[in-house]
Amino acid sequence: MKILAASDIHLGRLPTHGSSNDLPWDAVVNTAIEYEVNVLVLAGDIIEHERYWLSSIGAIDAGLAKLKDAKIKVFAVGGNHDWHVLPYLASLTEEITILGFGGTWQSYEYDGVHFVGYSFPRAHNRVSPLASFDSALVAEASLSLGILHGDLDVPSSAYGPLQRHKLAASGVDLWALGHIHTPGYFADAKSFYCGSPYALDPSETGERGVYLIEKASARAWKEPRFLPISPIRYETLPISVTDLDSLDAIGAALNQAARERLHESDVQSLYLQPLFTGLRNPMIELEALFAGERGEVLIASTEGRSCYVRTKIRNETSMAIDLEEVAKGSGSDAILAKLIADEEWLLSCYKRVAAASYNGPAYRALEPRTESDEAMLASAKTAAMTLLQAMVKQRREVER
Amino acid sequence: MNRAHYHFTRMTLVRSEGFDQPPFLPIENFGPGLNIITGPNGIGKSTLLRAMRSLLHGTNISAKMHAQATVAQLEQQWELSLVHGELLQRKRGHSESQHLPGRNHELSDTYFFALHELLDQAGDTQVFIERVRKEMHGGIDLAKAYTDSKAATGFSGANLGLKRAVDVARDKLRAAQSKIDIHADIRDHIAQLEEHIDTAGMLRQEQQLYSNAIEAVQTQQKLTDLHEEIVAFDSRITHLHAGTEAEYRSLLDRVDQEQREVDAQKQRVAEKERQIASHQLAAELSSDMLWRKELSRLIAALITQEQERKQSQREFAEAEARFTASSDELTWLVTELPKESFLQPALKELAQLAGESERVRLAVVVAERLLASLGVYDDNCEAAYAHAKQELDAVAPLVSGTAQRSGLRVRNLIGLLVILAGGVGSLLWAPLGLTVTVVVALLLFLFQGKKPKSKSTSLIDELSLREGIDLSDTQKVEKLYQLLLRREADLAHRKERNIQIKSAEQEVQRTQVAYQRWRSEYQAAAASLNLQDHPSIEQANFFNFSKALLEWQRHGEVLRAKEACYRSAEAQYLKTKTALLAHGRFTDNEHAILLEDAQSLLAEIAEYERAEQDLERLLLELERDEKRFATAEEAVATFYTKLDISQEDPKFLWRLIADFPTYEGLVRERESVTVMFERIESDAIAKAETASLHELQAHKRKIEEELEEIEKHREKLGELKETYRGLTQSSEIADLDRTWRNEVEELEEHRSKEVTAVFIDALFNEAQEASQRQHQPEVVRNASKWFEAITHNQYRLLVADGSFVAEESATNQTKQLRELSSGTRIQLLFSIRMGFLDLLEKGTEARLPLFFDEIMANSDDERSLAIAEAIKEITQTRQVFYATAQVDEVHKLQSVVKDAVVIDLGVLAGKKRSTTSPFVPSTYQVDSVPVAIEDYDQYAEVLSVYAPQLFEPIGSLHPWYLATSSTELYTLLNRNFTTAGQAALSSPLYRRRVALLRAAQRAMQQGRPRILREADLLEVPAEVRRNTQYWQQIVDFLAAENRTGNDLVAAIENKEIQRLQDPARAVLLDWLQRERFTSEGSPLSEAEILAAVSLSDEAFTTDSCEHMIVLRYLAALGLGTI
Repeated sequence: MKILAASDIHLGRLPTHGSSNDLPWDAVVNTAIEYEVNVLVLAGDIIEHERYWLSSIGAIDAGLAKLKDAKIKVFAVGGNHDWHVLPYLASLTEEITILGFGGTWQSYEYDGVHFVGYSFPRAHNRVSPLASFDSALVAEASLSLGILHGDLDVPSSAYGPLQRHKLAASGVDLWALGHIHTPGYFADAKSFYCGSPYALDPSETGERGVYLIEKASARAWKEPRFLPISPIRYETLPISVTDLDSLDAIGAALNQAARERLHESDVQSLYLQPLFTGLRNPMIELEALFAGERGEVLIASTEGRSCYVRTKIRNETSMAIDLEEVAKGSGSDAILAKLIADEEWLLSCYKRVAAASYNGPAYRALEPRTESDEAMLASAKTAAMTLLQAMVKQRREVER
Repeated sequence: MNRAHYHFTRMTLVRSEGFDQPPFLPIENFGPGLNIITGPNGIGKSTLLRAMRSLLHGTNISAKMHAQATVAQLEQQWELSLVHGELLQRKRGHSESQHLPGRNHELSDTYFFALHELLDQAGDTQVFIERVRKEMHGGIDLAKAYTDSKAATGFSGANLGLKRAVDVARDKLRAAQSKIDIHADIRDHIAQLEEHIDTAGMLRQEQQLYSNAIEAVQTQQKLTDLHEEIVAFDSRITHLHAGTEAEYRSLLDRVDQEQREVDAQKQRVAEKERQIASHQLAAELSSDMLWRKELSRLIAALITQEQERKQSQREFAEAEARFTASSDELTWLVTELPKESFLQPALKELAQLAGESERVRLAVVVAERLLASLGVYDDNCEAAYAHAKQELDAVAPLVSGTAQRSGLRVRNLIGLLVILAGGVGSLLWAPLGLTVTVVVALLLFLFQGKKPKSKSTSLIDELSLREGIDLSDTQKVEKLYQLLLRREADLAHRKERNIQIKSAEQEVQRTQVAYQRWRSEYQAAAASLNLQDHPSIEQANFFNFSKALLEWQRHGEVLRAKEACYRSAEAQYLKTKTALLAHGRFTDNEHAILLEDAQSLLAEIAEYERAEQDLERLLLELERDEKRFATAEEAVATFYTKLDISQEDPKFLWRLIADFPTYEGLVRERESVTVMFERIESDAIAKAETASLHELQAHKRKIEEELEEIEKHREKLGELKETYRGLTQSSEIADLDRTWRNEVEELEEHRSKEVTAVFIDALFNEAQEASQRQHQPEVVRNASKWFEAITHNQYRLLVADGSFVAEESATNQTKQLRELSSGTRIQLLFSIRMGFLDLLEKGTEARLPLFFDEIMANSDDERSLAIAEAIKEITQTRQVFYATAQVDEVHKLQSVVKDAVVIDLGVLAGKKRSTTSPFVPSTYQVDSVPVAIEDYDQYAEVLSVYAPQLFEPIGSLHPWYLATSSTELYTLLNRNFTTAGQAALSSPLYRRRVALLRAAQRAMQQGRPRILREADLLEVPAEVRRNTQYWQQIVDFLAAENRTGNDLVAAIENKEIQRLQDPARAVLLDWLQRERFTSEGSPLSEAEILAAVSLSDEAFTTDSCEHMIVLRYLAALGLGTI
């Protein structure tokens, strides 16, 4: 038996760099047919939201019809996005079987394999689905495949928190998981995240696609094989600016690195976000690199493949300023250097400002984003260094 | 004097704004301490100080300033020069430029204390405040750092564009979502509707069954009703049919019509009978056919004869008129008309005479003209000829025979000519000519036959003596003989002409006699015709006249014939008329009445006969009509019998006829309903038997309502399917969702940036507060010391709220600058400057001179002395210059600073004037203005008027360009107006003309930039550096002829001039534009310039003197012609 596993298609949502929201689903269907699988499992969030079902149903109907023609059985569970609409759709057609509707566990034996699944009962589900899992469901199965949507290793998650060890101890031979868009196999948890078949936005870096599951024996699965199918790929392009004394030199280095990355890649469209690292000359303003540009800039194109560089850069450079040396002085720059050295104060100050920003009238409508302390500290240091740079620059100009 | 002491030892102001020449002698007596620069206002004190500051600090440099100075520092000498905005500082003995220590542009004002600047509260204090702040933060300009790091004090407000974009995108998404929500159960709805619609078929069948059942019940009831109605009619109605009424009406109409025909015919018979009775006379005469024929013939004859009579009468009148007209035509020719019987022979005779007229008159004329051509009769000719003959005869023997033969030939020739002439004359004058010819011919032959007789010796001698010829000389005798021969021939010719004259005179007499005779005969013949004695009635005119006479005779004959014809016709007519009167016994013989009576009688007889015939015909027709009437009445009777109705009861018949359509309709309806009933299906009939009609109808209505509902659902289903299709195919919500996400992402990004900016602000505030806490600005301390000293410890100086304030020592109350008196304010600002001086020169070896410009003017004595004391202290370490025009200030300073050097610029200026312009007695000559001459252009040549330049001020033009005549110009020149500008000041007229020329000049300058020459570059601001590659390129570029600023700009843009970058580039371009070396737009034509001038002056019309003046100016500039 061959099974294709996919999740987080988010039908109805237009990818940032896609012309149609049906493309990921069509690609999954076509891959299933291409690989002549017997079963297609969908681990939730197939549809972006119930408001999108009408604009998605045409594509779903067509895809399910093709799968039926190819004699491919479809099992699915509802995720936090389509917990309501996916079962509803299933009620309209016989080509898809929804497992565990309403937050229950359900088992379905097909061709000697027990498929067990659990669908989200609501958009937010802080209770771990595994809490209600009964191993008896698969006790008599010679081979089983679990289909589940949830947040692995995030105990406080509102989206079905999953514990790694519980997955491993569930008795299910392999879990096909949905929710996290980054694909990955976790041998210790006998599970893998299918990931989104297509990169939906620039934050979804790396390869995107589906997993192919095959039997190793009558009672065991082979390790799932990842099949990249996304024609779009987002990646970070690290560039070290150490020893690069001018903006032109940095631009040239960026260009060179992007071309090399395109050469190594095989996707149609490669979007690279520059990540500048290393020691930066304080006189260089990296933001000036793409001054006046928005979105992305086409760098190279070859054999129908293109490489773009995003104008939104990540600046993780550190300036060629010796904080300790500056702190020895007596001016404002010295005071600031000392403040920067106080990371605890710096982080707390930054957190306070960041939190206050969401209270501002301009940003009240935004959903507050959670960032790690490390990330916030890095942002705080970058900002503080900007001010210090302005001071040091003055002093150096005076010295010259 | 310490080594840091820099002081001026020499200063020369060569040129400056307001001083084209050195205003005073070079100053060489500067003291190392206080130098009081004094002199009257305008002498150049402030200019001197500004020049010294420019030389020291390189600030406030003017391109027009040219100055040199020497500054000493111990043994070191610095040469400072300022030429064309270029400051050169170098040590003496060194060629390269080297800046003076302490040259500081930013705080150079610290060395200058001007009263007017100190009084300005804002003044330059801000510069110092900023500097203090910077100092307070360890030399870092925090404000600049704040700006450079893009810090922000707070987050954006609700008006942030990105936020609004998010709101808009979200609202659009929600609106689309709401649309979707409305159709959330659309699929179920569609299924329900389809299910419902599927029941429609069954309902329709049921509806049909009930409809048929209802129809069966209703049809049966209808048949019953119809039968009852039909049997209610009289049974005889069955005899009627659809055409019965028409048939009956037709029969009645026929009877009526026949009756009317009979009655009408009877009336016509009666009428005819009455008509016949009225023609009694005609009845009597109608039987006599012969009488009627005669009457007819007489009437016809009378009519014809009347016409003939009138025709002949008309022709008679016309002939009479023509004869009268012809007679009238002859009245001017004849005294009275001749008798017609005599007319023909008289005319013949007269015609014959007229035919001879020309010949007779011509003969007279020819004879008279021949006589005139022959000349006058020569009475001596005969005797002379005889004598000549004798002489010839006498000489003849003396000469040879040749001569004699010759003489014969001559005579023969003459004779022949005479005969020929005679022949011609005979042709003209007939017998007379012929006779004369014959006689002459005979005489000639006779004369020719004679031989010369011998002459006597005496005659020969006489001849010899008369002619003086020696007769012994043969040749001379021969010659004489020839002479005599010619004389004899000549005389013979004259004799011949005499004969001709005689003959001609006779011919004249003869022809005149013949003419007179013809005349007499002609007059006699004319008199017989009574012709007027008119001289023109002769010859050809007569022929016309004779035609008229003959025509007149013919008219007379015609007249007589027509008259006879008329008389005959008249007689015939009267005869016929009389016969008609008698035949018809008519009483009135007037032609028309008679004729009418006769014709009426005939017509009456004819009419009577026709009436007789008509009556007969009418009677026959009456008989036929009466028969038809009887037949019609019989048909009506038969009709009644057929219907079984008494003819006596027509009303009953009419009632039946009226009822028949109803009866017939009921019968037909019954037939139709029967057919319908038979067609109804059996199940419907069976259903009808199970329920009442009301029940059936109620049930059917219910079914119909349900079907209507289904139809509505069908429409709804269509709409829903369309909506469903649209929704499933629409990408609207996905697009809106992506837009919303993108907007959110952008807003988030903006928020992130603002978090950074606000965080920097927080850091900044933290660092600033800590810095201010840690650093006490030295400058404030220094300034406060100065302030305390010169206010005698009354005030201290502090920095509060970003500005300097004075704190009263006694009360610790602070006062802002604006709250201080002007004197104290000056003291405070003076202290700040001094505090900065300490700061500036801290760590350097330079103590540069200070400059004061009347700073004590607004201070009372106490404060003035305090300032003087402060100045005294300053002079301990540096050179000080104090400029004032106030003598009391000089005294105050001198009283405090004993070794002050007073430099009186007034004195130096006087010395300068006396050395450069020593007094020299001079003679002067008054130039008189050349006398005006009429030609204005020639007067310009006499005055050496110069051509204008496009960029030359109009005021500097020669007055010639303002005036219109030599006299006017002479007046201006006599008033010493040498330029247009001077003239313009003299009167509104010239002011207006100057204004017009200025307007024309401005318009012409558009698109025509100034020529830029190398010399002009001296005025280029100092920011454009001279010792550069681009400067040399500009100089080289301008070496070519007629280069403009536009050319230079183009060269700069084309990189022909290289390495010229901002700000020098911007300064140069700005200067070029300001000085009009560059100009935008296209040059205006003459017409466009005149239009532009017109816009500036409404009275500028083409017929004005001003128009001519402007045209003349434009022509002088090379535009257009005048």
